[in-house]
Amino acid sequence: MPCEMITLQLGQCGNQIGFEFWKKLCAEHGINPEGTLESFATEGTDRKDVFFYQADDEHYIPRAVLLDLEPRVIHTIMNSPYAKLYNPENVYLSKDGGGAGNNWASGYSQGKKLQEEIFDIIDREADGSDSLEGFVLCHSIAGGTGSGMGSYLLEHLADRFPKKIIQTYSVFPNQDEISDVVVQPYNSLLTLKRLTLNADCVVVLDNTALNRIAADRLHIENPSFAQINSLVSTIMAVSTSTLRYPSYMNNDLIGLIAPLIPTPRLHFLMTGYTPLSAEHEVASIRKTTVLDVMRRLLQPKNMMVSTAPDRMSQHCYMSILNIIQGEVDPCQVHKSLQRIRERKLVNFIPWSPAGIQVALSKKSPYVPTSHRVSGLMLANHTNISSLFDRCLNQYDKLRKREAFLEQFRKEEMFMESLDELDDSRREVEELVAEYCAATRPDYLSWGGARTEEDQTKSH
Amino acid sequence: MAPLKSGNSNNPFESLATCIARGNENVDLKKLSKLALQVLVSSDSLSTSNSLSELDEQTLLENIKCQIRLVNSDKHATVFENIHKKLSRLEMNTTTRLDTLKFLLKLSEFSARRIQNANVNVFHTNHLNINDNARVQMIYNSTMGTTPSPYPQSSYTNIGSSYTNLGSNASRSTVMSSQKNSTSIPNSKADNSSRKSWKISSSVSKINSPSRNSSQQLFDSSMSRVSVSEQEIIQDLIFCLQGIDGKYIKSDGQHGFKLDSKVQVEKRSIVLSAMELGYLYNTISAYSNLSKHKGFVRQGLVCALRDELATYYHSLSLIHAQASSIPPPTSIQTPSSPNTFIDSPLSEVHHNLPHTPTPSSSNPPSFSLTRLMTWARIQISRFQCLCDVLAATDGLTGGALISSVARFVHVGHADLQPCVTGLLSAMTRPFFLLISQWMVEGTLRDPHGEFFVCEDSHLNSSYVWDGKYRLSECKIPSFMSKLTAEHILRAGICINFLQHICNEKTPLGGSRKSLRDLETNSGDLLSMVRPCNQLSALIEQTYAENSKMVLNVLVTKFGLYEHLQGLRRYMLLGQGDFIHCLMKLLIAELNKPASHLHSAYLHEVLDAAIRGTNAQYDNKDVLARLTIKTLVVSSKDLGWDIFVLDYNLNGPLEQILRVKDSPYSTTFKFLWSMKRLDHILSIIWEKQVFATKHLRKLTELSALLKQGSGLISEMVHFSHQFQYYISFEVVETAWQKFESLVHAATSLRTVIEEHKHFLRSILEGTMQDEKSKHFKFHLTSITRCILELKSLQESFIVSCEKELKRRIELETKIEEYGTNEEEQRRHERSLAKFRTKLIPDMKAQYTTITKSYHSTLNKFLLDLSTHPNVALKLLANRLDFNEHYQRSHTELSECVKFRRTSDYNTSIASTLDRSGATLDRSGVIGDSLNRSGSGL
Repeated sequence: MPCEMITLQLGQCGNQIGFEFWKKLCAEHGINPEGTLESFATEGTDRKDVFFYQADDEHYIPRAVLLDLEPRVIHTIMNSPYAKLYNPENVYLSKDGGGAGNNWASGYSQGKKLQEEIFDIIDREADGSDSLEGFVLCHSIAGGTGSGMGSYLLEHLADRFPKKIIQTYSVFPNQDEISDVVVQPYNSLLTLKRLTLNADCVVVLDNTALNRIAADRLHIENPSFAQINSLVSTIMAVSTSTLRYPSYMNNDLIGLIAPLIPTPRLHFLMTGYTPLSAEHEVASIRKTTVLDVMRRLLQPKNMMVSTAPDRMSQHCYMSILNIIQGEVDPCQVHKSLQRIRERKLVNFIPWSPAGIQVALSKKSPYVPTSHRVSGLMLANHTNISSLFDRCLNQYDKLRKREAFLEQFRKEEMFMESLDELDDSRREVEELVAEYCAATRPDYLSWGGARTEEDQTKSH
Repeated sequence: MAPLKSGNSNNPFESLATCIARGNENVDLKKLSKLALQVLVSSDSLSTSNSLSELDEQTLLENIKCQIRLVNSDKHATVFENIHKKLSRLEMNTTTRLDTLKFLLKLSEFSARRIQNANVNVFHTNHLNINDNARVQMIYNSTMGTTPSPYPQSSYTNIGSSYTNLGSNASRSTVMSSQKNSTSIPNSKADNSSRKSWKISSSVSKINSPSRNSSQQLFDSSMSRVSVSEQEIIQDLIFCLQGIDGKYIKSDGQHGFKLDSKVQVEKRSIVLSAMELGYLYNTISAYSNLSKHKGFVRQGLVCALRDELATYYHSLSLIHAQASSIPPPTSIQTPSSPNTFIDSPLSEVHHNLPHTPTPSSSNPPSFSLTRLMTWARIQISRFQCLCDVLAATDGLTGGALISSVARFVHVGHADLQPCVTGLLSAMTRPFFLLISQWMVEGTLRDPHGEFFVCEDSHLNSSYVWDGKYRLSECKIPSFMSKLTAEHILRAGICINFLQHICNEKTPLGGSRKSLRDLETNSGDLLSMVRPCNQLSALIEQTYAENSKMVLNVLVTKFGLYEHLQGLRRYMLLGQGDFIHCLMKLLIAELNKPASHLHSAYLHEVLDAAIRGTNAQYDNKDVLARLTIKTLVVSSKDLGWDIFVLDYNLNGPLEQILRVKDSPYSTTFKFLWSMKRLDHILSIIWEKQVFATKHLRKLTELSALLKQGSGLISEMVHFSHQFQYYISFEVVETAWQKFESLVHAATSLRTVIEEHKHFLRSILEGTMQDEKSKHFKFHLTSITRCILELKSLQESFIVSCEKELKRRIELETKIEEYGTNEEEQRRHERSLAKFRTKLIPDMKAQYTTITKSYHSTLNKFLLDLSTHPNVALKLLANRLDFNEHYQRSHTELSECVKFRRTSDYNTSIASTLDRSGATLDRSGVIGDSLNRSGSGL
């Protein structure tokens, strides 16, 4: 009775990172692109059935649903060596193939239109698992399909599966380059609202930071999507490693994320990974002790979210989970934690006990790495609000000019009014406010900006 | 001069004096005086005073008195003093007087030495006088720092010390006997019988007593004397040396011999000395002929004694032949004395030789007493040594017997050492057989209880490995180290274990083969007397090999490593997915009262959990051992209280790991209860997340929801950090250490020891040991808080959902039909009830739980941070990583401050300043100071 996870890949970006993720998982579990077990991997102690299931012919099939409104990425996948890995019934392409045109509203309404077919697939997949723990949604918040259709799915997954955890890997757009998607701020804001209200745990993958890391730390000029996605897949693979390699603790998703999310609304997680080395690069030999890894994980430059500089240094960690892989002596972890505590390297929230949790995880024996110890940090940091703040700013700029709203007005949701946009803005604004409140000791008695207003309204 | 006459009868001076006094013409005065002069000159070299010429009169006087006291009593010394006074009153030249005194001194020394010579035992024949002995003794005492004891105490005393010890023994006995001599009543028999063990002194006194007796009688009635020739006395002596009564020398019934008091014989002292050999012979032969000797070791000893006696017979027969084969030319063949026909061990020799009882004394003897004595002296020393050995072995058996003999091995005397060595070799041969059988076959064939490995019959025989066999320390031969004995014990147990518990064949090979070879070549333990020897090495080697053999069998045939892994995975919750799954499947079932639990259902669930997780890929044998045990139900128990996983190890592995008696059950119960807590918290957290999403519409709840979330997150934080501590810092750390040691182990013993250590460290780390009872209490309180929160959350969600449903229904109603005043009022009433009654009520309940949780946790943290175990202190740090509790709890922060500064004075001063030095506060500070003090 494993705690199965169903992965939903939405849109161009979602399918791309999903593709990389499965590639990685296959490599780690010794499953070849056709889905059969490699001869060297028959005697593993890994748990494959969290993310895969076995077909009648012993093929391992990912518990993945691939959804897109345009065929390009899915075609690439289906023409790759991994084409036979997926269950073809789980690959859904919109018949008109026109895509969502980078329009959230279009994606959302198409999702609504196609919901029956989509939920058929999801239901079937959910029925196929003994003890479904939750869903993993891979998408970007800036495009059309991932953000729009993703938002629709988020809203309705919670209704259809009220007792299942919804975790998302949400890719935030790169702020450093001018996007060809002009309505990106609208898309982001609308999706953010759903992520706030409907998702249980959002792992923020910030393209800005990922590109900077690729350039600065891996020395790749103009990193390709594949290179960035390889980084993303690493994060996804490591963050699920404790589920896939059972040990004393963190064998289910709730166990993993519960300590990370002290209050349900503040569920946006940052990630950090070290040591980073690109595939083409011969890994520079560096000392990797547990303390080194844990210390490096606390450095902002290793964070995969580009937060605004915290000038007031008011922001703090709400929680940290370090997943350490490799040959680790628990004593070293202990010492490192002690060192970090004594030197006060981490600034934690003042209103609740918090600390660095460590999960020691096995490493796949089939994927050689040059590093003895590697670590992934999943952290709940209040400064992630700066990312949302940035979204708000960009939205405000666009909204002030009433720019590019025609495409939205075409869709049902915005035909009558743009209330949805205002509503989303309020929701995101409140999220930012709550994050800021969480930096203060009286957070738990903080009622929220909107509460009083609402109460007066209902009276 | 009268007192001096009490000396020996064949004292030349005495004879001379008597002759002169009686005016006996027959005696050749000239010859006598020449002899006396010779003696005087020869004794000069032995004198205790370095040069007599340098001494003044007083010193001489004192010396003489001293010598007289030695030989005789104080009374005689007083008599001498009176005589000296008379002498000094005479008109005499001072030089003449001095010379007279010097002569007298020599005379006294001479007579004193005669007695000594008869007494001093084998180790000190003629070479050490009393003063020397005492000096040696003193030196020995001062260097060794011990008081002289009759027997060496440590088994490895060096040769020198054992020599001096024996020497001191001899010297003391000499003094004793000489003192006894001075008393006129011959009571040595009574004296002897009063002693329990016969010692050297007793044997000496026996020889002296006849001499004194005879001399006394001689002095009293010299008329009844019978003169006996040297040849006759030699003949008699030869009988005596075989333990047979002779014509003049009769047995005293106690192994000793008496010389007929009427007998007058030349060299009486030599005869008496030689008679000692007869006594010693009797003692030894009587011992060796006793049939009651039990035990192989003592039989070995007896056997060696018989060999010794055989050698003695042989050499005696040669003497006998010599003494009788050269008859004096004028001998008359007279019918031999009836004594010669006594069936003696030498009778065969007798028959072949012409019997020559030669009573004539006029012819010079061809085989002199002196010659006999020369031979006898060597024998005496040998037999004396054997007798000492026998005396020391009295009442001992087996290993202790060997130990008692082994002490004599360090005798320095070149002749005696092989003698004792021979004894030891013969004795240890059967002992070696015992050892070898035990080590090679694992069998104990020890009918007389001689071996130091013994079986504990009280214990259940099912635990061969532990306790069934043990060492009996008093039976370990003294020259064998405790370690070697331990090795022998362990090596045998290994083989025994293999054969009887594992039903394994143990082919002979390696060191065991070498041992067996030694055994067939009648090996002994002699070589072990030296500290570094091959035998000890061989034993050690055998132990190592046997140990390794057992370990190999257990690893290869019984899957030791697999089962240890199994224990870790299932009893110590290492297989996380399995435990998680089992928990999920059982959580509802175990909430039922314990009496409602169905064992069949539990087993079904166990199977399902195995099938559903990676446990299914585990070793089939390991899985087969896994079962569920339910503890005895008491009235209020829930399923949780009685449910325990069990790992049913049978056969050899259970014997060594003793899972049934070990704390695995306790540990599992604790770990399982912590997992349960974790699981409950996961459920609570999940519900809270869903409720927050679901009840978003009820905006007035947001504060309450946040309060709930805050408490839940605190608990989740605690549970996770605690789980991490238990899993990785206690169990996994201990396991990693244990695993590496086990894989490096070469002996099963190490594995067992490490296993015990492993479990102990887990018990300590998880606070399940005796010392950590209060932690258990705190953890129970925390569990109670969490369970309370769970039920509160449930009722909270139920009532909120009811409210939500009401409002949604109302909204749809309004949408469809509109509303009226009554409807509105009813709505407002229930709204008010919800807002003013339910919410504050819930809030109060949350606050109550939060308070009790905080107080428990603070106590827990305080106890942790003041605990002497550093690991627990650091756990407190981990649980309060961001110092949240420290900030809100003064006592805790005080305690931590003390620890940090570790400078008590400044800490006290500063706290007193801050606290305003109120009595109440300082009490608390003192308390926490004490606690942190003990922690440091």
